[in-house]
Amino acid sequence: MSDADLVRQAQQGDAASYGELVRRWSARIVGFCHAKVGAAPAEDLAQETLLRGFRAVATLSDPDRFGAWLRGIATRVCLDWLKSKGRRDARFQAIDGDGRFETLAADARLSPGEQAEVNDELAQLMCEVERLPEQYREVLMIYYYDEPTYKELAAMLEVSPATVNARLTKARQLLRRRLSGVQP
Amino acid sequence: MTFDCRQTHQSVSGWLDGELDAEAARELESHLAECSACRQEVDSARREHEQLITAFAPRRAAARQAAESVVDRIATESAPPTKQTPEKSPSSESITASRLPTIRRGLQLLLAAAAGFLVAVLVFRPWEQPAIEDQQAETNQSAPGDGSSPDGDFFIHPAVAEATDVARLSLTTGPVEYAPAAGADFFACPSNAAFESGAVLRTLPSVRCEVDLDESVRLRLNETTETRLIGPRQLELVRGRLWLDASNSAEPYTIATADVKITADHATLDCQAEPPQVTLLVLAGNVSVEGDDWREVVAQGEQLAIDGDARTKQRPAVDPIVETRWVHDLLIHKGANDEELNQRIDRLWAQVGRAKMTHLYEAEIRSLGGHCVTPLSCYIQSPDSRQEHDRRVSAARLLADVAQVESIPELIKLLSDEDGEVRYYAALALERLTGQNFGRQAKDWQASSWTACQPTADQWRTWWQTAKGRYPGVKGDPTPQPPMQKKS
Repeated sequence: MSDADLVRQAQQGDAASYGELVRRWSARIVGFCHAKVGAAPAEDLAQETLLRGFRAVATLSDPDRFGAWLRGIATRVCLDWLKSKGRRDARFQAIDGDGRFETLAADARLSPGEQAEVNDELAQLMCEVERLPEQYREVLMIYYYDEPTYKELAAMLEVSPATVNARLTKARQLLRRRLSGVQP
Repeated sequence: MTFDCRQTHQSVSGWLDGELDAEAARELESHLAECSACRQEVDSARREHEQLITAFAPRRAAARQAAESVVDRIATESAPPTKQTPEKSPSSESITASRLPTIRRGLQLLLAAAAGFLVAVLVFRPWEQPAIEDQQAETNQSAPGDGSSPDGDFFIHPAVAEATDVARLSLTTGPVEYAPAAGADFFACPSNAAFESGAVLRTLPSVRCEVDLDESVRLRLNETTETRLIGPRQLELVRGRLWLDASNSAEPYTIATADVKITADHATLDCQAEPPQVTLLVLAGNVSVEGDDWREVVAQGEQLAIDGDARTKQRPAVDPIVETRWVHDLLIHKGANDEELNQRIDRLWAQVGRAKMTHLYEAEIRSLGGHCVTPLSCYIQSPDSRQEHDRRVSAARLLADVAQVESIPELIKLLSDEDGEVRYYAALALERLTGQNFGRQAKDWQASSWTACQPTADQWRTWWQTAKGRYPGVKGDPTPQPPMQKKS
């Protein structure tokens, strides 16, 4: 069933349909919030976004625009969060604080030393992802949180699929360049 | 014909993500078979892609958990609000009951709303709220109409329980009035009130307010302004003056006046309407304006004056930052160090000593009083200001004139500035604010060497550690940044 169909059912009062939308969109919204405010508060803000969406879904006039509409709510939620208690620089604090890369489950094939090396590499990679310019960070994070198609990503961000391709290409090039610079 | 290297670089992402059509993929693969440099590039891109998938794995798992939490929560809320759902009575115990119905016009609702507002006004007394900053923080963390509190539980303000989330009053400098529909009686708004489509908002003399509109649009109303919320993305400016920021909005926002329609698409504007005159100033982006048989696009920094059939578009003589000074009244209510206010002060300060009407900018900064201390102090302490001796001293002079007790830590910091004139003005202000000087007159801070002054600066810092309890609410560390201190 398409998102638009689920939205229409939710607008008729079907909470289960909205629940299905939540499962489909949660990762993308967490990714979007992560790009806006850092990893630490991203899940909480995504939950807030999805709950606000639930309460306001009846006001959505064009069900085909659900993703873009939800992104709009997420933008407001993130801005509000940043505004509260002067958290303008919180995103950068998050990189060094509790937003840092989570250690992966140990791989049995690797020695503890090798595992630590892998974790360091991935942490460095995530650190560079966090430092990408916003428009590249945004598209890259949403992509790797959920791996949507370019068309889906384009609809959510209200840009063309070609723009998504261009931004992802640029984001990956920037990452490679920066990582090769710090890890020769 | 196969791809060249440039096309390959542009298509690698799409190829890795399975987004390239079959023909393009074949062409790319043919090129790779021939070009070792591109093969190397693609191998590197693939490795990075796989690493990213691995790196994001824990985040994806966390996102799935977040989804399930939301699903659980909405299950407790039952059905989402619908346009067709019959109205239910709000209940203080059940968020579901209070949030569900969309408002329908009718006598019952009007009476309920009137009673709710009266109770809320009496209980919350919005005109007597000293802690506006706290109120603001609360607003941000737990938006009424959304019903979420910072700790994850739910509550809903009784006065706004039934309102749909078209707009929300987030800040006021005094009482704001509201009518549920055009022609209806006005009520005093409780703080954080939410408004539905059709609501009319008006500000009284000397009162300004800020309203969060749908999604990411922010509205500010100047004094004696009346506006009607037509729908989620449009309003009518009946009279008065508003400021609208739709720069982060995914969709355009429309303002209607009696004669024109103004559409802000990723734009910020200031608009005055005293029919038949309308004046629009575009602060960011481009704004489209339509009349009966005409349409104009007004660019950033341009002003369009409409008087009946006559239209004049020009760059205003007064800087937009000065022209829109009325919003400062709201920004200073957001508490110390509001980022937007600091940015505006930075822009004003950037013109002092450089622009033609420099006194205008300086007067504007002075009018903000103690609020401009932090931006000015930051400027004085910035490495860039080292090359601008005269402006640094001007900033210190301005700062000494307007500083309030909140600025004491910043002023103590400046006692360790390398420039004697800056130290002089900081000492002058400190003496004015505290009535003491630790035996060193202001002029001595300028005449003596930096080294000779520092023991007294240390005395000030020691004093502050013991005296700060006498200045409740004043925060800040008087320790200077290392670049301010001379080695000898």
